[in-house]
Amino acid sequence: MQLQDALIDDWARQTELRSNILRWRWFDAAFREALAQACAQQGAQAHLHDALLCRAFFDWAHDVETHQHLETVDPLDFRHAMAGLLLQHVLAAQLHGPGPDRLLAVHDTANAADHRDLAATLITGIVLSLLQALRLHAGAAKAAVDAELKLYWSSFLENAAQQPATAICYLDRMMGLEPVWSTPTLIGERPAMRAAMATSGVV
Amino acid sequence: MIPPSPPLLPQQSALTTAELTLKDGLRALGLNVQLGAHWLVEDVGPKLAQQIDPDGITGRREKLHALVDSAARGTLSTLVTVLQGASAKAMADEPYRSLNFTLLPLADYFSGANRGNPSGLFAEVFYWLLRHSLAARTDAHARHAMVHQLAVDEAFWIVQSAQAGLAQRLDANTATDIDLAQDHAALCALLLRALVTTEPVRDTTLLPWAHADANTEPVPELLQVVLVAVLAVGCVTASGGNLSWAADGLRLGQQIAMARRASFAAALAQGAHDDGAALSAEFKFIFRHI
Repeated sequence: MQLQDALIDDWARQTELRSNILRWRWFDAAFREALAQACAQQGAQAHLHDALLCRAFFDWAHDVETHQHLETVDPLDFRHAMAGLLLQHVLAAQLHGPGPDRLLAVHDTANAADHRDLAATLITGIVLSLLQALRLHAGAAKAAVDAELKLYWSSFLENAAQQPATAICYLDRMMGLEPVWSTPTLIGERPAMRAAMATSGVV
Repeated sequence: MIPPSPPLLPQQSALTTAELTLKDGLRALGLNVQLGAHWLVEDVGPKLAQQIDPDGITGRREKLHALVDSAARGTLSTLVTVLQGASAKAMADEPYRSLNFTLLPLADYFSGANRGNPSGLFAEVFYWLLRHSLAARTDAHARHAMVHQLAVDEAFWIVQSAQAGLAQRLDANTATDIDLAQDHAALCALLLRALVTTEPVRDTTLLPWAHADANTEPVPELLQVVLVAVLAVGCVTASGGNLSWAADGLRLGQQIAMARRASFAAALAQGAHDDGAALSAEFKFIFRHI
């Protein structure tokens, strides 16, 4: 999984990164820039579906707002949850829709399986890059991506296509966190959140 | 049958109504001439040629077809030239036509700065935003639809009479940021509801007085045209600079309207029960995240 290291550092230096990431104009520009760089690295060409990206963004923003109150409980884990929710929505736009439209149309691959694989790789790489920037911005170090990712990449794509919320669990696994397979979208049920709440006596 | 005169809203001057009715009539004539010429070329011509030379043996069919095509195109060209000449004299609209103009914060259009014609700037800007928004669509509804400027003007007066104090509060220095955000979203919601009520985007093949039933929901594609215009201006806020290029605003409005049309339609449908609160909340959510 190739991440956009230069972009990660640029984003992390922005003092307003946390609020910028939830602004459509910033997010749209950042996503496009990361996609262009990732395509250049992979030697691929991709066309981005504007409306699907915009819909995924606002659905994501809505979910983040819903769980906003948990950010003070564990700010770093909340950023992981944000990234998981983002991956859920952008992958849903790529893999899960009933119609023929997809978030990314990748042109350089001959067969559908390669196409699906490359598009999902690009999308996941961008979300991981944003997460790393959010971690740096919060004062944490970059997290290492799970070395065994290749072993479960196919099941990740299959499960995300059928049930987009599982993307949250797989992202946690990629980042070395414990996934909550039974209730991935309940951010308050995440182990780090529950531990922080127990420590602070909120539970 | 003579169509009834459009109802005159209390504040709307007879002169404005007459001028906008004339403009709308001229534009409808132009669109109908184009639709008529296409109908002649694509429908009438081939059928006539088929009748005269059913087997296509004599070779007269191609000649007749070419004759009808040439006549229709010649007539269309002449009429378009005449109409463009008349339009140029009646309407100095080049900056609007080429999208070379800037947008103001929504409240400014309701500030009544031009006491002689309070709705003038609003009717002009929103007419052109709607027209460009409609032109970007390629669906069947859009092909036969046109924007009626008089209906845009009517929406201004509906908003003005419904919320007389809202625009003033938005300009007031004493208002807090929260008040401003809430009022701005409420003003956008009010405007969207007014535009849905007055139906400025209509099917030009229908009779002019054939308004849709007030209880029926707007055609989704046409709701989107209106939503794009409201979002384009709604996204211009005092905190983000006082001016914004119309082309940029329209692009942003189109992106958001395509992505959130279903949410806006659902919120709009609730309007009769919650007085626009859900619609206002949807605008507020969007404005928090642009």
